[in-house]
Amino acid sequence: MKNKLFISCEEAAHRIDKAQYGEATFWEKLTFKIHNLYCRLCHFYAVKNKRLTNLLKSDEMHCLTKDQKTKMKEKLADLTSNS
Amino acid sequence: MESPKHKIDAAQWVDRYADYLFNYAITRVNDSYTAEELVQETFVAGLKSMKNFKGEATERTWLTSILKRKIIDQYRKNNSKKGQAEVRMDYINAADQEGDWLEEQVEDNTTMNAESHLENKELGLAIEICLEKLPVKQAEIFKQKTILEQETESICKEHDITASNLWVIIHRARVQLMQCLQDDWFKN
Repeated sequence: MKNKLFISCEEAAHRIDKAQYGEATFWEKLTFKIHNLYCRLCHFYAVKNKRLTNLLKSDEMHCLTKDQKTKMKEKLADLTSNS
Repeated sequence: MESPKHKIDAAQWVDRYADYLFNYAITRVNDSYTAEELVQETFVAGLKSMKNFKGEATERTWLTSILKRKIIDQYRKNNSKKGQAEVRMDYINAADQEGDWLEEQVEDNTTMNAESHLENKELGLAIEICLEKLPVKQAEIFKQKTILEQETESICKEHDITASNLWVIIHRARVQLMQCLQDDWFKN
């Protein structure tokens, strides 16, 4: 039921997550916001989720790409096989 | 004879510790290429000195201590190249990185104060430690989506999962991460 105005907590959590990545549609945002008006648990989940996004968006989070890791693994495997 | 508390599993190093070590290095050398090289050198040095691992500390602690020495060597190398002591500072954006002298930053009020900066560096590592507690695949997908900001479609294709599966994985990862940070970071 794509156009349901009242959604379950599970669906709300799913939409709250999507919104953190800018992938929730207007309707999805509207429905989880309505849900959060009457569900304290999901409201707090949304607040904490936003806080987590802000932390993760800080410039201090970095990670290597899959290619970079593959190259590292190959080099280590070469070293292991040669020793 | 008592068996060591921690054992080495070099085959898992890259998946388990590469991102943690990369975060550790990049906040100290401010250059992603150098940081990547340092992580690689750390793993190589770790492999060569595996017999020295006594198992009293965790693998991550042991590898971090190797990385610390590599970073110090890197500082020495940089300083000897320039022929004088240098203090590395953090820059606001890539365009500012042409020079790297302390004097250029002294009057800059837009940079964070030392305490908040240190706190942020530690937070980056705390997040990385929490991510290590997630299953490897879950952590990988989460990082691809959240930190590397890859498209949902390309991640799904790479891991052969549906978009619904991806969002379930992301949700579980976020919940666990929030809990872990709540327990380990915000309480301290």
